[in-house]
Amino acid sequence: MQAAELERLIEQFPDCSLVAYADIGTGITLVSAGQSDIPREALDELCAEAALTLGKSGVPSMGATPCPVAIKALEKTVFVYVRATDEPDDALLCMCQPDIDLEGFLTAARATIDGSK
Amino acid sequence: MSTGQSLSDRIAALAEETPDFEGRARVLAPADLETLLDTIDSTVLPCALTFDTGTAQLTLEVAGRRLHAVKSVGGDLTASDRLIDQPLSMDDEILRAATAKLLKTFLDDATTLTVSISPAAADVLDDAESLSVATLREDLDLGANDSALPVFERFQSRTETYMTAAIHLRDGNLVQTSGSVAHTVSLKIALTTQLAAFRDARNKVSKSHSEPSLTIFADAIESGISLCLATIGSEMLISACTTPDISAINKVFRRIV
Repeated sequence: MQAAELERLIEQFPDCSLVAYADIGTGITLVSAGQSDIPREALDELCAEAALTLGKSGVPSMGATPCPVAIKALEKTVFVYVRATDEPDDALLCMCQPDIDLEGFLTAARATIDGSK
Repeated sequence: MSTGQSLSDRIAALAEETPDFEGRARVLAPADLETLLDTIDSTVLPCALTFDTGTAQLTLEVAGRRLHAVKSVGGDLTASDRLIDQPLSMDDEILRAATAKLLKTFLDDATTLTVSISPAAADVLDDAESLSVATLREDLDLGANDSALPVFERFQSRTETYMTAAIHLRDGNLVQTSGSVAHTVSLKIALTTQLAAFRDARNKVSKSHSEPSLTIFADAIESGISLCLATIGSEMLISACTTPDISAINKVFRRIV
């Protein structure tokens, strides 16, 4: 995964301010795009929350099956986590505005993470 | 969910009902928008529903509790060609507004309303590009009378039609369960075996755990069925919904909080 691929996703969806590609199994963010000044601690928190919500190593945190997508909506922010189809511990972690076109964004994010393999 | 029947129960009931209903008409009373929307909301099999007020006719293609297209209008009713037979999408605000206006106009002077049903040719049951009844109610402003309700109750009432099962908790205590038995069982398993650990872990990693939040775990119950966890103050709603509805549920949450 290249930063340019993440930047293309942000260009396509201006309501998305940050995209990171991470290994949620180890909790390591590999590459990110968007907010260049985001502190390392914030990325670590994002990665930990994604691991918790998506579930690591094929173990669901909630429900019976590991989810391919998880969304956490707050009043002013929507976090979108998209798991890679072929690498269950690889995921895109996205921070978006509440008004984002969620359906369109999920389709594009899926293409970004699976298309990069 | 509002009828207390599971989706499969409703499909089975409608499958039995359809042959008797075909070619016949039912009188719906009262002839109002709620009645019309309730009819759409109880239609699971792909059907063309023709509503007739005596002076105007409206035929809608309906499936899976959603409105897929306006097929035709007749009598005193007129509509733009751009609306007729066009696939309706929740995200197409122009078509949504035109549809809402048409439904309202259709019933302006109605005293009686009959509905007849015929099988739809199109296989639209799995088509996600359609309008849910909850969205139509929003567009018709039928949800506006709940503005005095607390935030959680508004969220609950406006998402009810998206959910196949739900469990409501207040201060951690069970308030109500409703909906599909199978999905309620899945929710109870998640509630008793996973929720406490999930919340504890989240409280450790996240600074935002006290804010109103909606967390959606796509396809977590089974393929096509997602798990939603809404927390607003001391209220919590853990629910199951079909995966295409997660965007709509998120939109409701965004409007409410």
